[in-house]
Amino acid sequence: MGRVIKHEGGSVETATAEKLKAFVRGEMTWAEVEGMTFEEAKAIAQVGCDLAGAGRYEEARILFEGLVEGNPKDAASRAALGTVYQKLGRLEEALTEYSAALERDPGNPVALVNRGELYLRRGNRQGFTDIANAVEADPHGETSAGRRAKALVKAIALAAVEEMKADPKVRA
Amino acid sequence: MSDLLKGLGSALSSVTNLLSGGALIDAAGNALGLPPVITNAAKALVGAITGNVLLVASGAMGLAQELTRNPPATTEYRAPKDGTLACEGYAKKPGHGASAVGTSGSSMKGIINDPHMSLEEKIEAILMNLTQKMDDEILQTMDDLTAAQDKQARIKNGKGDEKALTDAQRDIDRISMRLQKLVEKRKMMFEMMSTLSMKFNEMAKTALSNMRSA
Repeated sequence: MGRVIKHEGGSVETATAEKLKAFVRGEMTWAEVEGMTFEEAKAIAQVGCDLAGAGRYEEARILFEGLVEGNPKDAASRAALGTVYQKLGRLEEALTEYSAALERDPGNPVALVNRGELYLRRGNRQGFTDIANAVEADPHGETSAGRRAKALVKAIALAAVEEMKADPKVRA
Repeated sequence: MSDLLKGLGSALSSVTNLLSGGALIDAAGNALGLPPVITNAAKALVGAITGNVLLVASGAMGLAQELTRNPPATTEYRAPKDGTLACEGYAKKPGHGASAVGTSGSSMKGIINDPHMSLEEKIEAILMNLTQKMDDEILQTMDDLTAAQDKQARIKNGKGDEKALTDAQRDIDRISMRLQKLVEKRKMMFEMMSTLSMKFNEMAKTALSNMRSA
């Protein structure tokens, strides 16, 4: 995105022209046109995560929005952008990003647990399924999202037991 | 001040744990190597079932600590485990796809679609690719042949039964035949490459002589 395709002397390089045509037809992402590799994107995303970790959400948002614009197929970037939106209080946009991420990668624990929590806050039962799927997607708690999902499942189980104790009808 | 509160909280938590008998579950959890989340949930569930309020409180506190350590909406970049899915929509690393020598079908496609290569170069690169594949296959077959011969030697040394010896010999014959076929195929491929190269050379020569005479 920082690179500029120069138009010199009236003729754009054939390969670049072909790539641009493919981008217009929707056959290529802008990241592919620019020649951005997955490793480069991952490095940029890491900077975004560090910025978000330091509470600089606006800057992190700009980075992740850029990554998603460059490659809308990148589920990890979309989930990360969702978390930044969530921190900024833009919950509808966060939900959209989580859902888009899960369309590409249904086992993304970050998108699953955060969408699950947002759904549960709204009283949507789909939230339980999302959190349970997050535990399944990250059974060893490799991500913070996976560990949170595990803790949430336990908390939900505890709340259910308490509910059963309080209401004898449910118990019966 | 906050340190003092944290210390106080920790002390109260320990006392609650000890009074409620949660220390026993903690010890059991540690012995079994269970993660703290599960131990805490076990404490809370046992407390809820037995009506032990202190045990419920201790378990709930542990869960709350776990949830505080992992806050909601933590920004993480978790790429899909499937490498192809992770790299989708990104440019291939330099040297991938359009390389002259590769082993996958996608690299063949890369050669065909490479706009920087002439037709001659494309054909040559594809044939080279096929030859390399064949070389790998020949090496693999040679490995198989060595293994079959070793097996036969073991049977002979161990004075194994006649049937096993015949089977081993049949295996060796089969693999030798395959090796012979592969070598013949490789020879044909090499001849084809050589002929093509000669033809391209002739074509260029004819074109040049035509230009000279024109």
